[in-house]
Amino acid sequence: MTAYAVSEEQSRALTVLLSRLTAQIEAEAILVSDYGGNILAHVVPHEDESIQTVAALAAGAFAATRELARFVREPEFVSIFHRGRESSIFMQCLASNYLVLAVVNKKTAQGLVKLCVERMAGQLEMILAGTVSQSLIDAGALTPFELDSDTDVFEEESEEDEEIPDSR
Amino acid sequence: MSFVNLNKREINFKVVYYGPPLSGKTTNLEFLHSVMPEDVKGKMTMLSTQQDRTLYFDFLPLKSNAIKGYVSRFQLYTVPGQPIYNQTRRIVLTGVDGLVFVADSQWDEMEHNVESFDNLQENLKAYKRSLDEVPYVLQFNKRDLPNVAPVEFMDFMLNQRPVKALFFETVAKDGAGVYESLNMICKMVMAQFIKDHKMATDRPDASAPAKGTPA
Repeated sequence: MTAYAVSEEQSRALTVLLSRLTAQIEAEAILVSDYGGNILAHVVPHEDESIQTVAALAAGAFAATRELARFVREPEFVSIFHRGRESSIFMQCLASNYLVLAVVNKKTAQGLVKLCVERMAGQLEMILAGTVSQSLIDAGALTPFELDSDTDVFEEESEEDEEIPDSR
Repeated sequence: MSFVNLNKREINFKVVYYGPPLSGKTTNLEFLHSVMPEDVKGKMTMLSTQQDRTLYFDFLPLKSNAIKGYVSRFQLYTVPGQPIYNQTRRIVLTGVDGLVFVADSQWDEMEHNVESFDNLQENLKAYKRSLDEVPYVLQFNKRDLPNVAPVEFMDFMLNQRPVKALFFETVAKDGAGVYESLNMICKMVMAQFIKDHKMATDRPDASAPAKGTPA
């Protein structure tokens, strides 16, 4: 199975739309990911690794509810709202296997989030159209990728090499 | 399916730890989370039952600079091993780039190992994929226990495909062999990614892109 890619231009265009949406609904965080949890663009107050986990869990939640939807003869639920006491999460699926997720606080009405996200969905989908099958070359990756070195992929903290059993 | 964000210069790879119930999949991720440097690892998330059995999946994101000019993000998932959660296992396999099959080395578990390995191949078929094209390694786990089958027997039971897989003897609870198997599967996944892209760029019809700028 080959990789797919989002180009620099597409990623920037998505970020512009997400920034606009963030202002409209006063979102604490907002992202667009695919159904596998890969983030295409996001707007968050502090850049850290937790956004990766949020995207993975959102993708998992959507996949699980898709199975639930089948019990009521729906291909999938188009949106999910998780309401909390202080913060809530709204997720809406977009065409072509993507979803948009917004974290809002209790000051933002659920209806406003739904309305604004639905209004922006068309513009997001226009940018996303075709990306799900967009090859790396089509997205602009024309030069070969290269490994940086032949050593370990990650740096390990501990040094307990003596206890590692033989492996092939 | 690996994903590249050319704007952020990030590549995402998905690695799934598969295997029978209680074979040590979650323990693998727990050990990796405990030894990885802070700037490499993200938060480990476990969606478990009250009995600490995996209900949906465990998730551990790791970062690497192994590919020049890009941040490689490896998203490690486990699946629930219990037979009733097959639909969940299938969902977690969506877009997988590499697999670590964690087998329990105890004699009593051999049947479950074989069932789980067959189940893995069945679930890949649902996505029109197979172990012929998805990189994978085998872990023969719990080698510290007294009632374990010889490595040769496990190899015979689980490694009979035309192209033999690499295997690792592991003790996941102590971390023995865990990092080595992760390192190997990540290298295999990256090698496949680089090879696929090179084949595409070498094709005569590979031309200038319509959008974006060259990497």
